[in-house]
Amino acid sequence: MGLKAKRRLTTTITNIFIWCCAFVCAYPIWWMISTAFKDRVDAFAVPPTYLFTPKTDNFAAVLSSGNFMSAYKNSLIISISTCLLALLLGIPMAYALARFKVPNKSKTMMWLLSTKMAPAILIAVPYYIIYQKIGMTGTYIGMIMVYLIFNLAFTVWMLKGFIESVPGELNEAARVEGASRLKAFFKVEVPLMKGGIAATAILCFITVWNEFLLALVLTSSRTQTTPVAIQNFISFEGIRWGEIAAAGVLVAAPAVILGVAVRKYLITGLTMGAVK
Amino acid sequence: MQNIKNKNASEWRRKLVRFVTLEDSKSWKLLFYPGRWILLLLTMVPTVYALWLSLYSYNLAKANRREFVFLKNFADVLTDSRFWGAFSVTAKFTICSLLIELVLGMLIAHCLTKKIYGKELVQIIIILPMIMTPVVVGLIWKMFYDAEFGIISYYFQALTGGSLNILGNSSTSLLGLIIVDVWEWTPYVALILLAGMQALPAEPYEAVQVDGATGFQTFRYLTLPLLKPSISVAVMFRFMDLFKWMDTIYIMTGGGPGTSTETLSYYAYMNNFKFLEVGYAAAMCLVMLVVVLIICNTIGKKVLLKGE
Repeated sequence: MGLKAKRRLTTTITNIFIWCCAFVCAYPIWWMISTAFKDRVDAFAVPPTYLFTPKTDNFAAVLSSGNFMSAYKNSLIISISTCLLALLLGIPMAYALARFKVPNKSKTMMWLLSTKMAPAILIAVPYYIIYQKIGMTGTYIGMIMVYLIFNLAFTVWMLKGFIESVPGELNEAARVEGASRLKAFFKVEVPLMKGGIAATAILCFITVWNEFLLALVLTSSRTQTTPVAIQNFISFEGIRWGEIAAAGVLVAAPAVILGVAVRKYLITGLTMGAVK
Repeated sequence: MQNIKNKNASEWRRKLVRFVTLEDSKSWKLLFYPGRWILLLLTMVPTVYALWLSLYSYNLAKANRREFVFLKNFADVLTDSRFWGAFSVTAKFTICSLLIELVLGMLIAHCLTKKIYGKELVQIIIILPMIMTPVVVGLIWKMFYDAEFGIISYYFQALTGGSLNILGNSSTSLLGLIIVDVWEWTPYVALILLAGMQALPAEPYEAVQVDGATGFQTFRYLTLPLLKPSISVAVMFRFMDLFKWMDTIYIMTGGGPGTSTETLSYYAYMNNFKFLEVGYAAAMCLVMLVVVLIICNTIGKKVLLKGE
């Protein structure tokens, strides 16, 4: 076998392998989407039917369920508020850590990291009792506060990297022309790291949107978020797969769409900036 | 006199403006303290409260019988066989998932450095599992595994004739959960390693090619050592997630059958929210916190704070 033929064979095998992996990744998701469009008979057919007339009954059922729609609204309120608050507090913190001589900088960074890495159950247990005692169970502000713990640390780590990637000389140049440091930050750094800030905000949103445990124990039926509410479709008369699939599509869609939009920053974000 | 007062006032004003516009070297306090104090408050209050709770025998169902027991809860945790069972489930789950994800991830990353048709599309498809809502992932796989209607059981039966109930059997339930985790997170490991591979220097590779090294030798003695930083990043972040992992368990098995899929997080959850033994749950959480802090401060420092 010639070198060329061998190389072609390697390319073929690599391609087949990679596309098989992509198929395995995509199949469960495709399956969920197709089940969402099936009626009861098709949804339970084994082997699964691959040709069927798509019906939107499941989506209609989900959208008309007041419970689920209010959970959707709750998820949006809590995710967006947490996200904005994390940016509001996180951008100044990140700027201070990136550009000033903050004492004990590396200790501070490790402390931030440990708040992010602590298991959610550690937060859930004490907060559950504290909130019960002071009557904050099932309030938006209570949820936003606990989510801020994870996301503030993440925001600071992420943004610190982005600020550091803007050369300090650009800021100096603007200041020579008479701008204050604060003005220079908005004039020079912010435009250059717009993409980074947007990516941080979106990753923050996805984290909160997808979170389950804290939402499970700290919300009431009024402030339930979607990952918790989706279980209401598991009822006494059995699990309604079609409706769960439709609800699953609606729950996962914002996270997936936004995640794909910022895919360039995804790995950087999920490793707190350790991988560029 | 009036003059001096005016001068003082304007001096003050000037200082304040310098401070607020970040010109002063102390301006970081203005930027840093609000966030830090809020975060400190949000994390210290529950930690201190958990510490206090952990010293009591306190069951929410009998709220009036709270009893100070000092360190008894901690002693109970460390002698609780169900705790050690959960510990071993967590360890098995973490090690198995991590190893499979590393090997598969390495293979995928290696292939992605080669010529792939539609590479852009592949890279979009493989990030889908990790950004999907974990609860939804759990539900999809629960349907896949379903003994009656699940397609995995169906194809297994079609191929081998035997019946398969992965989650209903305590010897295979953990395996079922490992598969889900591998599906969800292998691409993440692969992409971390890919970023590392793309940053590798070209010269050593040219050198070993001249020396006539085989593909395996190149991988074993060159790529692997050079990739060590990326591997540590992947291992650390996966470890942290696997250690605290419980969303999928809650959805798919509820720790069962028996306690075959009960991890530490899940057992702590059960203690607090099902058995209502708050004091005991708090003690367990603190034990877990110590483990996380030790790991975070040893590995984390090395991996994440290069040169700081």
